[in-house]
Parts: sequence; structure tokens; C-alpha cells
Amino acid sequence: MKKVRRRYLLFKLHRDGPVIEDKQLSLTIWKSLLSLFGEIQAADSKLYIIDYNESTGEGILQCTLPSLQQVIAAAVVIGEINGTAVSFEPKKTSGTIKGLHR
Amino acid sequence: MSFDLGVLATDVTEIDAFSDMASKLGLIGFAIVGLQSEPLNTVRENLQLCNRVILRGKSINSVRTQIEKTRRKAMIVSVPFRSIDVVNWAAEDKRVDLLTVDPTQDIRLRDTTARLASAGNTYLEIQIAPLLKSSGLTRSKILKSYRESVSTAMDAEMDVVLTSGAIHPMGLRSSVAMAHIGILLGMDRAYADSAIGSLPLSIIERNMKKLQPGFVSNGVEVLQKGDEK
Repeated sequence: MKKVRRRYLLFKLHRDGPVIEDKQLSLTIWKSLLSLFGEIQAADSKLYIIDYNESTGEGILQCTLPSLQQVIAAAVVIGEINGTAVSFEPKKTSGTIKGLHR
Repeated sequence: MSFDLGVLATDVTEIDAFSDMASKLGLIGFAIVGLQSEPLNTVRENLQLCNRVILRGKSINSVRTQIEKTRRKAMIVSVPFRSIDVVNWAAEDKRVDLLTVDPTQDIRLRDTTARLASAGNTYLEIQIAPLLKSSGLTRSKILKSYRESVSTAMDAEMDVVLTSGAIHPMGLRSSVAMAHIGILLGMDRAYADSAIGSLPLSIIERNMKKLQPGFVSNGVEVLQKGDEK
């Protein structure tokens, strides 16, 4: 199987309400990705939240390079998660986690 | 560096919350509808607030009356897509800055209207708020409406600006987030960046000149009056 390049995205989830858990966030991005781009694209994205601080809303997600634009688009059009208004802010992308912290 | 021309806050008390959120997201300013008297106001360091008026008249006459009363007081004047006659009139009128796509209406941007707007320097405004509130089939229909409008405008060389249309501070998005929504609507990355940065700023710059007391028309300016020495 051909190895697919990964990309890491540093993000911040602004919210107006209670804390949002990483599972809720991941599920909502998946659903948005599925709705916007379909099952094949969602599956190929290999979306995974590596790190997420529930209190600050900062985190890192991983996806494949070809799906990066779609994952970001799917995340930024999320208006609310479980009734809490949110604003997803993509901050930085990199090919390595180390690169995000530089 | 982005300027959001479409914040739809309903109360003066919300301006602070919007300003806080805009600062966090790195916006350099936003336009607000009817909640401040000055056309352009610096609310805090690196954040400007400008006044916007939406002309909701149903006929050309009512919109014309409204624009005569408000143009000198507002930095941004927009006309929503409600009637073809009004939109065609607004597209040609140099006092109107934005034509706002309304995905709930059946009226779509026509090629002829886009060409008129391109010649009259009137921009197409796409508000992202309906996309954030919807999902599934409803969102798909909104995307269809927006993508068609963007495509028609770009083909006719009519400029497009992306705004939040936010009624709540969480409806604001950072410049990178807005650019990705622009790509979703069929723009390339460079154009999406300009739709949230350089194009809104060019409208403000143009209107700043027009709102100066000595301005008569493009290229004509009162430098000194007859009785002045």
C-alpha cells in the first residue's frame, strides 16, 4: 500500500458555553466532512485528533495531505456542537508535530 | 489581515463582545449595521468599526430615497437580492457598495446584472452565516446558490467579498477560516484571500475619499472655496 503523506493542523476552538470534549469535536468534524464531501473522502481523510486541551480549546489534528483543505473547510463551517456556539480557528499546518511548535 | 464587512449585531452592548472576538481572530475591523453614528471609528488598537446600512426597500423609488438619506452617514451601503429591478438599479449605482446574496430567495445573480455591477464597481457579498446554521440538504442548497453566484460574478469580472453575516460573536471566523470557505465556494486561494482582505479594504478606502467634505466626484475635489484665501 502506498504511503500517504500526513499533515498536522494546529487549531483553536473558540466556544461560548460549556467545555467540549475531544470525542464530540471529532465526531462533529467527521459528520461535517461526510456531509460536505461524502463517505469516500471522509474515509480517505484519516482524520484523527491527536491532542486537545478542553479548557483552552487548542489542539492538533492529523489528516492526509490531499484531504487537508477539505478537513479545514468541514471544520470551519461548524456553527455549534451540542448546542454550544463555536468558532473553529485553523492556526498552522505542518508535516510534523514538531513543526507546529516552531 | 481581514476586514469583515457584514456583522449583523442587534444591540450596542454586543459591540464589545464582537470586538473581543474579532481581536482574538486577528481581524483589523468590522462593519456593523446601524449601531454607531460615525462612518469609521477606531474602537481599540488595531481594530476599526465602520457603519453599514442595508437598503431593504421593495421598489427602486424607496431604495433611492433611502440611499439619499443614508449615503453620507454610512461607510458601507448594501442592497439584498430581493427584486430584479432593484438589484439591477443598485448594480449600476455607484453609491451602492454591495449586492448581498440571499439564499432564501429564488432570485439568482444574472450574468447581465453581474456585468452591470462590474462596470459600476459594485461588489457581490456572500455571507457565511447561513452555512454555519444549516446542515445536510439545506446547506447543500445554500452552497448551490452561493457557488452559482460566485461563478457568475467571477465570469463577469464582478468582485466578490466574503463576510460573516454574524449575529453572535461566535459567528465570526478568522481570515484563514474564511479563505477556506471561499475555496469551498469555488474561488482559488489567492482570490479567497483578497475577498476577505484587500477587496473589503479597497471599498473602505474608496468610501473614505468619498466621505471627505471636499469630494465632488471621482477626480473632482473642492480644494479652496471662493471666499477663502
